[in-house]
Amino acid sequence: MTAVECRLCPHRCVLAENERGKCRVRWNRNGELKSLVYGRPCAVHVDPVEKKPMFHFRPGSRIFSIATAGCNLRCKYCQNWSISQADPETTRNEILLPEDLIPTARANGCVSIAYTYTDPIIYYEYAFDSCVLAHRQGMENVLVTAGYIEEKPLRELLPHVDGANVDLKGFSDEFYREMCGGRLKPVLRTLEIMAKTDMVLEITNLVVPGHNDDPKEIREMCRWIAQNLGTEIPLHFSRFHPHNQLQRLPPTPASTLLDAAKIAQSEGLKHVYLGNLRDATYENTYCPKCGALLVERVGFRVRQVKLQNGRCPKCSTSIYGRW
Amino acid sequence: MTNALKSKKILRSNGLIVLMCLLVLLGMAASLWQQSRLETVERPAMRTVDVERIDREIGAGRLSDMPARHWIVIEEDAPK
Repeated sequence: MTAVECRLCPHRCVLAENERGKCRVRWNRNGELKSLVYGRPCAVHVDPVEKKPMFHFRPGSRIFSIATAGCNLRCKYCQNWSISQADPETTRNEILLPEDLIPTARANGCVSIAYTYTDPIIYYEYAFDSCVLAHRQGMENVLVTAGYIEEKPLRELLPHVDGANVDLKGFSDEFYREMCGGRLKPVLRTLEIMAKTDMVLEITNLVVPGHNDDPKEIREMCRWIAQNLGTEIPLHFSRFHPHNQLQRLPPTPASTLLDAAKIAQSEGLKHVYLGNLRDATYENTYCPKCGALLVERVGFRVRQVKLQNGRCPKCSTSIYGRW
Repeated sequence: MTNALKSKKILRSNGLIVLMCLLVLLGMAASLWQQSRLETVERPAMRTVDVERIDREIGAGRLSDMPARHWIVIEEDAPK
């Protein structure tokens, strides 16, 4: 019997033969680690890029979005729990290999591919090969991830990635342990590594009432982002809706999200947005220098993009992103 | 000192000892619970797959049998 240790994510699962990891999709078969979900997505959709959410990446474009079953975290409030917390043999999977994915995305009018819904880290090989092929054929790649990955595989993947939205779930290790079955530190490391590349990095923080909505903790998080990643990085505070194991909690009050946005701005963050909440002030992009409206949005729909070559048309300030 | 007072005093001191024992036990239980909780997070219980079912799904094309990257062999004949 040969045991293997998976070194893809910080769980570092040690697997005896015929055992699968916490992610549900990697297993030890005769002493060799195998992926059950390569080219087998259970979700394939065309989405507006704003839905990821990516607000500073090709606004108004359509992005081909895929996911396989499984996840390496166990968020009690996961919105996609029906596929993220499912074994891949129980979901309805398509066969869509990387070489077929790119033409399919193109045929659907997309200029980029999002590896999303669950977490691309667990279908690493599939995402990696697809990213390489997409780049070769002039398409761009976006990861929507919790960032719970080891440094080596992350560094190997990033040259093939153009944008990422990282879900920073909270700013305490306790929250990560209790609510998500993970740790905070590896996620912060992922963010620091990503911020040093030329990809577009955006961060989402889903505010769960009574769990990660302490204004002091939100301030600490915003300060850390400003000091370690830069004030240009867009931050999305997203409204919680009852899901999965937290169905009895109420949705996040609008006032909590508005307070969070003000805290982020007071810490110097230039691009702060509110998600799952209609509020024109926090769904548009404004020039951080002169305040001019740059991108007008209504929900996931883009009404107008006023940027000229990535710059504010009034004061010519360069705006973070790919436009 | 009357017998009633004596027994009251004994009861009180015994009660204190019992209370302290309970507190120690409670502390030990809390520590054990904390330890098991951490282990659950850091070393999640692995699950054995239904190999026959997985093979059937692979055969039908619904699952893949692709070699994964980023892993190492721990040791031959390693007791789990």
